[in-house]
Amino acid sequence: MKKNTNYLSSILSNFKEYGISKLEEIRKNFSYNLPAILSVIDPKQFDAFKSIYLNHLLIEKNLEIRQTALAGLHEILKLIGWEECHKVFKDVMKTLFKETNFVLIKKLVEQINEILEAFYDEEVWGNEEYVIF
Amino acid sequence: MELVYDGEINVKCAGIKLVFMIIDALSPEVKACRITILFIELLASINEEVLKVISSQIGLIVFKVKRIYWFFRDLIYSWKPI
Repeated sequence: MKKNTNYLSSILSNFKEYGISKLEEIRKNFSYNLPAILSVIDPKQFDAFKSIYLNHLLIEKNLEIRQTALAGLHEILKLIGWEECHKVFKDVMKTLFKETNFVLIKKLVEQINEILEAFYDEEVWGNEEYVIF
Repeated sequence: MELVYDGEINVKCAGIKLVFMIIDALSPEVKACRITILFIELLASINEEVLKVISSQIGLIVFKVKRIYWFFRDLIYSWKPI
């Protein structure tokens, strides 16, 4: 069991380093693979990658990396669940909606349905009218 | 598997891609003994080209390696002495 935990933490720490690599291609690969890694390992591990991912999504200078991070956003939101979505991504979404780059806005609009679905939990909100943002 | 350990970096990268692409077709012995070790070795690589290949495929690799791990774990737990 201990061996397995070490194995997992070795994967996670190496993967985390990709996110802060000096090479743009590797940083892009981090954002591209993050949804897959979370779904295979455990979505609860998102906390460990949160700051790097948000950095790619909002601050990163390379547009391609931001695009890649944004392309996987709806998958990440679905994986982490609505509670975490509200806790972490509510303000992130507000910032993204103010984005002026056309390519990023286009990408965001393309997946808006799935993003909104991730913020909505039928059991909690039922039929009541609820304003997400 | 020899391609993965080739001195020529382009060959090595092609070998890495190939191994994880055909992983399902490898023999159970190779899967159980060599793939996990190879994966850990590659994760620790400092070569930029190798890192590019591994980082681009890591989602798929982790998925496949985990499947192998669970397969052998189930096999071990279901094994009973005759």
